[in-house]
Amino acid sequence: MNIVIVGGGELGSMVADQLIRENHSVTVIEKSEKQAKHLNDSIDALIINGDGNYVRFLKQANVDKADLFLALSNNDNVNIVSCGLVKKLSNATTIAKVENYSHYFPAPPNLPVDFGIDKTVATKQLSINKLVDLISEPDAMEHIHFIHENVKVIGTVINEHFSGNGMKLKDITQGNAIWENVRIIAIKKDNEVLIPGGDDVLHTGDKLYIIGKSNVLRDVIKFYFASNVKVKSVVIIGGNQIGREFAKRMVKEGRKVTIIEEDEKICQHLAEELDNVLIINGSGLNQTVLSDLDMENSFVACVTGRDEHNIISAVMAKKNHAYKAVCNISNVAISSIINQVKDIDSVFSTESLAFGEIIKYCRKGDILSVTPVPYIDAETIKIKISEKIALLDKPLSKVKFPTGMIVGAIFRDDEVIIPHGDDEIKMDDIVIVFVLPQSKKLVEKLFS
Amino acid sequence: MNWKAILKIQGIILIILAVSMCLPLAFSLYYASGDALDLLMSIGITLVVGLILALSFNPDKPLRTREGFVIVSLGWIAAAIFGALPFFFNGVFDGNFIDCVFETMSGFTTTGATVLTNIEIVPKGLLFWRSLTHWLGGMGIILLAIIILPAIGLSSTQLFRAEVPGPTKDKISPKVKNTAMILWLIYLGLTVMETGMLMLGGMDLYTALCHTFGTLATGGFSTLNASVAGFNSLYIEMVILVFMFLAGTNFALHFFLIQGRLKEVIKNREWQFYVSLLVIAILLISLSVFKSDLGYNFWTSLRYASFQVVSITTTTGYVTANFELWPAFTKIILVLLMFVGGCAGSTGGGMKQIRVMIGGKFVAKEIRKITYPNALFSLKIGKEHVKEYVMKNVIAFIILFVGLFALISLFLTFRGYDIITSFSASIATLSNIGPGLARVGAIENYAFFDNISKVVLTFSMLLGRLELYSVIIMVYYLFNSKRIH
Repeated sequence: MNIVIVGGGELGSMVADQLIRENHSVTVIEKSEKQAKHLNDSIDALIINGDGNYVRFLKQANVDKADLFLALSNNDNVNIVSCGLVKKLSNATTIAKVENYSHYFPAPPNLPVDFGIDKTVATKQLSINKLVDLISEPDAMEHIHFIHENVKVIGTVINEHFSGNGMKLKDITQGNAIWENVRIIAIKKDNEVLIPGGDDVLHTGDKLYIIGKSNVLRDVIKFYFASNVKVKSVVIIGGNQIGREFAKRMVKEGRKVTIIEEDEKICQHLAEELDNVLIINGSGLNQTVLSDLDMENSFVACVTGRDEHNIISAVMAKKNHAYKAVCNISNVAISSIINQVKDIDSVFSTESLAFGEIIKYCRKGDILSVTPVPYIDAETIKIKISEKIALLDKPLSKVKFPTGMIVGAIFRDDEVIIPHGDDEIKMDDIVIVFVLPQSKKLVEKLFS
Repeated sequence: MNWKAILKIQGIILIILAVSMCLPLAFSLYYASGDALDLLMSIGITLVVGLILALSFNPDKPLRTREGFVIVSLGWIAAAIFGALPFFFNGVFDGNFIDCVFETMSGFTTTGATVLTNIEIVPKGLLFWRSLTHWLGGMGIILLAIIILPAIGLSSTQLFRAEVPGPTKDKISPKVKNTAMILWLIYLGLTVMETGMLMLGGMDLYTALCHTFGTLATGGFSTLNASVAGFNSLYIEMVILVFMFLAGTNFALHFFLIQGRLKEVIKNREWQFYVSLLVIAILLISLSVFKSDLGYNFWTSLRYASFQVVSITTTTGYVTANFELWPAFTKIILVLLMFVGGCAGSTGGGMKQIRVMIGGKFVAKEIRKITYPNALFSLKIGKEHVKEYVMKNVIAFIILFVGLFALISLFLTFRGYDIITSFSASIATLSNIGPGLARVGAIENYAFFDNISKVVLTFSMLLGRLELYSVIIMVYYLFNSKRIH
């Protein structure tokens, strides 16, 4: 496919990089001269130094021959206008990243204007949804959704109450109806990630990644991993749009919400706009501010927009007895470093969420999606079986799989199978595979 | 340093080299010229070394920018060394390996400077290989490797930037691989066209191919001692002239032409500059030759002058007349044209037309700035503003080019050669032209240089072909590896 991308910043270059790796022809229009030069030296794409909302540069990027147009700059106006222009210049499918979605696309009764955008990716909304996901099941800290909303991967840490502590995996799962319907795809012990076999032993503090249907997973969490803590209060550090919208949602759910915000003017605005929310004018890094709050059993979301600030306030919140602390990171590269910080329960970056969302629409081949698993260096790959490959119609226990991978789930028609040794992969199935980076090449070979 | 990737790509380059040596082998067998065994041995050695390198290394890291430069420079050196094997085995240079490498490097870098005193006694297979090195080097060995590189999972962006530098990046297609493929296809198309036209002029396939390789790569190796003058045919001269002109043009423009974007070609400022420079030089030289006491009539002067100007400007180096005998004024014009060279993105060498243009405009801008200290001037080529970093890069290139020219000349005079020979040998190798003046003049050769000077000149050709930076960066990294992370 010919793909034109406007904006070569963090998100744009991440998307471009992935698309080039999937063998598409990519052209990037980047405004900053320095960044354009950097991209020109580092990725195999045509780089145009210019504004994405100028017809001149769009024409220079041969937008008339493009199949897909992605507007991913940091400026909503540029993204929207460029999509409108592209619709007039070509037949390309347009996707726009829109940060402040509600500014342009109000709720249903006020119909939005047709901007020529086929698909919008509302980044702030993605972050808010992520937060809502996390708080809905505070004991399962990662959620990765697949085709069906009701199949996902969750990550959860084994606490001291877990009945299977010190037991072998096969002894826990065998003959247990609940465990039969889910699958542990990875165990993270300290900083080492392993794909489990039946003989691996589970200990307190290990983090498990489990795939299954949402309702079964809920039971698993309830029976084995819940800590009987009820999250009553929510503390939001940072009062920008994400914090504000999240606060509104939480108030609606009837929780006790506190927002800590440094800027006095913003606090004033928040106080005027939000009801039943405690607004505190202060810094999330200030110990006195935090100790004034009753943080016990609270869920802390750090969304100030500054990475360092978020990380440190999350750690401080945990020191002040917060039950869970999550933080938003914009620099994708450092999320693996935060991995080392035990106190932070979950990290999410708006860019990676948007990345996953965008890549989903760009896919044509058999690999449907690649989702990095947060916290650990691994990926879940969704593959559609459309060719005859060697492992078809064989019981999985007879197939020689490389180490460092596991088949997590099989989608057949509308049915979901959590595979066991005697299950088979058939034509037209969609398979979810979990891989460690060193095995990725082998897995790609196996399925092509 | 990512040695696994570096060595693996060297292996691939050697495999390409071994495969291409099969073509001269075919001619050698057809003409029974007696050099088949030498070629066969070279193919064997090159192929085995290539396969060992390509199969035993599996890069696990992506390439970094600096490794691109090292790969490209080393690749060219490896090609010159292994490409020299057939000459060495045959013994045409009395077993002097430095001579063999000089000749091969001169071929790959499309210089066309020869250390052969009598070309016509060399066996036909070897002579064909000598011309084929031009053709491979003209469009670039690495560019050829890039076409197959992504298949082994290495990014080729770094290599493309290292082998095809130049201030303007006319990437024809978003993907480097496709760009490389299109360029090679155009090159191949032009090759077929010229070979056909030369055969219409009465050449056999062998001679036609050899001269086509020499022309399109802007190389200059001929199969005759007297170069193109030996045919004494106006038709052949004109065909070669036209194709030299085309080879000296930016290949992106050929692509535009195929797409029917004629306007863009004519409006291209570098192309306009290139054409006007040629026309002015041709007029000046033909008038000067006509007025001198050589006894040519006007049309003959025009014929010789136009061929020589195009041949020198595009850095080909074919000769139809002994310009050594021409007036000093014409010789100076030719030497100045040697510095300029072809267009960016062409197979020609030299500083490149666009750099000279930017350099000239930069000087004009600075002078205007002195007159109006507070005014702001933008340096433009056509309607495009030339970016600050591009401008700085061009100025640095020109300084480096002239500096290296001075250094190499200095070295040659130190070895005891006269001024004109030293100066012209230095620029003729650095700009990849071939013939210079005095002892390296139109009908002379490079055989008389001592071995050390030959090594320096070989290096000078490589510097010029890869536009200086790649080679200098490689040398810097290889000899400073302890200080670099």
